[in-house]
Amino acid sequence: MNRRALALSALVSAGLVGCMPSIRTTTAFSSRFGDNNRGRLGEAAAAAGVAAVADRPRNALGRPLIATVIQGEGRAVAVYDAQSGQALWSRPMAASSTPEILGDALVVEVGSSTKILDLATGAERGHVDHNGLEFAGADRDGDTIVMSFSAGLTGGGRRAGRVEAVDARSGSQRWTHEVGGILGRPAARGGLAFVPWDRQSIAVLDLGSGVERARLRSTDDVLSWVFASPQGVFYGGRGIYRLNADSASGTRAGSQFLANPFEGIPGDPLIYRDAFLPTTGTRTARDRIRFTFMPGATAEGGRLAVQGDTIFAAYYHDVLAVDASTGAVRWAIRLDEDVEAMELTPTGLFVVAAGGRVRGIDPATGAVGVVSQLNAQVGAIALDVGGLSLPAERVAPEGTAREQLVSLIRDPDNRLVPFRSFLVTRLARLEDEEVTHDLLDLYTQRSIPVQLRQSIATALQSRRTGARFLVAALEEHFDYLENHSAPPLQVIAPTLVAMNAREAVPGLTAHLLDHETPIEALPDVINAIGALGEGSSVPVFQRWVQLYRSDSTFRGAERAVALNTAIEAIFRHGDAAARAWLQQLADDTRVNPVPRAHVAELQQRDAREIQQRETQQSESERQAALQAEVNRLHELQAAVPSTLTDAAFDEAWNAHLDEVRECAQGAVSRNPALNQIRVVVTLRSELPRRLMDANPPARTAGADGVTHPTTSEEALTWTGAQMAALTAQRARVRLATYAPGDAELRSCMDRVVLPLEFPVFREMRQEFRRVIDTRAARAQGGGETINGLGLDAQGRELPWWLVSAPTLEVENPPPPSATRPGTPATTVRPGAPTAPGTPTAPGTPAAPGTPTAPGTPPAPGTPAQRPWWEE
Amino acid sequence: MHHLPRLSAVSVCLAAIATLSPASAQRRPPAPANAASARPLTLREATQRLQSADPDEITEGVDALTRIGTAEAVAPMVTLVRSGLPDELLDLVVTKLGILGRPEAIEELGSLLHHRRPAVRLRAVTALSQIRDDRSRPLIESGLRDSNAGVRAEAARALGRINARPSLALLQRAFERNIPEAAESIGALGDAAAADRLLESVGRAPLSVLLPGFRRFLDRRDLTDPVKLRIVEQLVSRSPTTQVKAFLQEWVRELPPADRSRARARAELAIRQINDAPGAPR
Repeated sequence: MNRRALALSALVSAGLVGCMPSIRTTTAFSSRFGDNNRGRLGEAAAAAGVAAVADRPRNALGRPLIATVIQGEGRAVAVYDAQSGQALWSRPMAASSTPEILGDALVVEVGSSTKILDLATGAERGHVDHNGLEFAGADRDGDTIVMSFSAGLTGGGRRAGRVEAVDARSGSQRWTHEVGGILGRPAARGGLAFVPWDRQSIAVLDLGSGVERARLRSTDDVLSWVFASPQGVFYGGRGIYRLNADSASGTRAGSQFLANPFEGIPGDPLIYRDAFLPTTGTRTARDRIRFTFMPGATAEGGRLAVQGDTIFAAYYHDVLAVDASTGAVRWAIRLDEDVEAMELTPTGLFVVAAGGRVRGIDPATGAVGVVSQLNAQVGAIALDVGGLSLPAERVAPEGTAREQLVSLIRDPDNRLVPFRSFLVTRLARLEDEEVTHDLLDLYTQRSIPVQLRQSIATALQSRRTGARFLVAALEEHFDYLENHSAPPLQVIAPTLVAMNAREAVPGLTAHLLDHETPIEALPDVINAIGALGEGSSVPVFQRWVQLYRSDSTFRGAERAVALNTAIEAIFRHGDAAARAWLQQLADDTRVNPVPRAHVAELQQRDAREIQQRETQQSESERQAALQAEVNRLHELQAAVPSTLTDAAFDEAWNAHLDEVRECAQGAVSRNPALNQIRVVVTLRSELPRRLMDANPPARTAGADGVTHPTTSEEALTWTGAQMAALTAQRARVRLATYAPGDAELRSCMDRVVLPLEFPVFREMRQEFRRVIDTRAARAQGGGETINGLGLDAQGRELPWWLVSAPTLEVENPPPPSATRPGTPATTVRPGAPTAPGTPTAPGTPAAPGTPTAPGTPPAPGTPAQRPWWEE
Repeated sequence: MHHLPRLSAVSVCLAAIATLSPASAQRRPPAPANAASARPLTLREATQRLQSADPDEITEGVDALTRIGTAEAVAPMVTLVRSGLPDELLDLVVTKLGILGRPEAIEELGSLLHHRRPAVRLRAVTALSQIRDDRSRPLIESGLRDSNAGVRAEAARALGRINARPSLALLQRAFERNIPEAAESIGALGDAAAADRLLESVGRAPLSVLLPGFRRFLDRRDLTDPVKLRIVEQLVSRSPTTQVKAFLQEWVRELPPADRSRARARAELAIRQINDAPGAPR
């Protein structure tokens, strides 16, 4: 490449660089930027800093100011001294946003651009074109003003946003970012701009370079605003968050958060001005429904706190102070003008009305006085009234907070009916029993709108204290001459029941008997008398029903509801005589047919309930019986041993000793040298597995083969059958071997042994060995018999063959574990049972034992040197 | 309505003569079998009739008890009322209790002032007004407080009928509370001050409501001529209309020819002075 080419290339490169915009849009709002970084957010919060609250204005003029748009014909933007009410300047301007006081500048939207005016003079310093977007708001730090613009703030399909930093002195652009989402009014502090983004994130940008330093994203809340103050940076939606490292959690629980304790106000205002809703430059209802607060230090437990633990709410001409922790109203006042703007300073709460009157309110007491009068019809008001003093003359609201609330609820302004309904719910939360009286009094006001009356009724029914006021109200009756109405019985009566106010029965009864009680209120009255008076109310009901039983007053299903209710009360609370009385009523053809039918209906319902109860009782009895049977079955099953004990074997064996003896005698007679006869009996239990089922089957097949849920009767039958089968189950001899292998002996013994039956056991097989010592028996029996072993220590006659068998006192040891199915068989000593599956053939005797005296079984494992019967 | 008490007394007397005189019954020849129904029922028979399921028999029993008219006749009828009757029968019994005019019925009639059907309450007010007993008046007064205009009207009239002077203040209050029927009773019971107070309503309340009250004032013999003169003068002065002229004409016409009162003279003068053309005062 020659020099010319290089120079050209350099020139082109330089030209390209020079032509490129100096603002990079890739340094912020990138989808790849990591959000909720604890370190970065902590640094941002630290940069914004926390300072002591200073009671002075934020503006550069150092005076409490009010910037506003003059309403009506000559629309203009004006700045007033809040203390004196004098205008600093006023400039005709078709402003379309609320002006914002930013240091020494005033920012206001006019048409399609946002102007930067000199705060002292109103002279224009510069402007920023919207380029098709709407102005969302601005903030300032140092000499930089940061502005947000968006499309889609008030709906529509297009979503675009732009944040732009400009020089506060000239309006010249410093940097800008365009994003494909909506951006809200930003905050600026500590060299950083905090830009709400898509109601979910807040981008933290370096105010000098526009580079994104951190990003906060909520995972469980909507982030609709952010503001910076000397106390720090705060953001949120319905509640308030403090920006710090904990904000990185992205959750309410993990952040410093304070929920709005006064949520639910009609109009659903956020706790701070919504950054995504553009202002209009005119008066709006939104401006009249708002909260204000001043952030405080962190409370115990890391909870965010506000100054004085109080949040203030304005709703048209009502202003309230609310406990930030509990939502309890501290004070409530009604002004004679709507509040168009409100700001809380360390000194007081200041509000401005449309007529230009500036009022100061003592945050602690609600005492209010006039600060100044602007002498203009104002709207779209911005306040910067730090340092403004409260007026010396202030009027404190009368009465307690409860009384003040009641006063607000009585407000005849029908615009405020929804808010008055809301206040009714707040009033009803107070435990003071006087509240019940207040609500009752409010309910009976003739001027109360229907919607509000319904709210009061609902609130009244939620009360659980103040029954005495309701009882007292029952003293009131309709009186045409005195223009008295009946008390609201449909509200009072159920509430008295909820309060269990038995003392109300006489008053309620008087209203039952009063013809002026509205027919639609009678059911509630009757139910209350019945519930509170129980059985004592029955005679009253009987007389009342009797009087009207044939009267046209209650003719027709709809009008007969009261009669039916009384009949039901008699039925429920009356005794047998009362029910008999009702039966007579039902049988009397002269009686109104509707209540007659109702009596029959009640009787049927009662019969059904009785039957249902009986069914339930018998079912529970059946279940109890079934359970007892199942328990018995379980006991039976538990009683089935794993293996048979020697004692159990001997019980069957001993019953046939005589026959065995005959066989043995035959064998000895055929072989006089025979010393022993060994018998190995293998038992097979063959216990069906189903007999060990613990519970009846869930479903049972019917006659048609279709299964159905097993009834308790079927379960009972099943259990009985199981127990019968288990009881009948026997272990039988599967195999019997004898030594010596004398055919006659085998034949003889088989006839004796094979039919033997034994108790069932769980293992499939079990082997028993018995050794008949014919020699010892003969010796002790005198040679003629093989009996005569004598008695054991307990004086029991020993069976002749027990010479080498276990003694009566010694149970057979449990089968060795090695004899479990699948394990190699081991040699067992005679007399000890072998595990199932290890039958030992007579020809291969396992460790024959040396004959021993009773009680000394042969040592196991003694090797046999010669056939044992020849020993 | 004014004759009801007298009728009641007559019927009571007749019934007493017809049914309660054992001597006359004994003197009577044995009645033929078909004449048994024509014979007046005894108290026991009438009471038994009340227990019938047949409304006609009940009516017969009620009528018989009314004819009997003694204190003993009240209790069966009260029991009947409390047993729960259809409208027609209850209305009948309440009316008959009034005709009986026995104070023993006051308590029950007082209860019936709170019956849910206005017709029953109205009849109870009427019946109470037929019983000469001090306890009746406050009960009738309570009818003025009723939500039903008919009951209120009957209570107002009844207080006038029973000459309840202690109820005058209440009647005046009732008149102010738009119970027009109170005017007539005020006229029947009130004094000069009451007449003045009623005169103050001329121009505020319709003449059709007020004039019956003034007529009662003018018809009373216990009021002096100056009082009546003042009524005529004030009436003419406050409302010199053809309606007043016609009212005065009717009153003068019914006065005895010998009446030479100044009130009459003033009325005759007013009759001459008031033009017949509508709205023309003189």
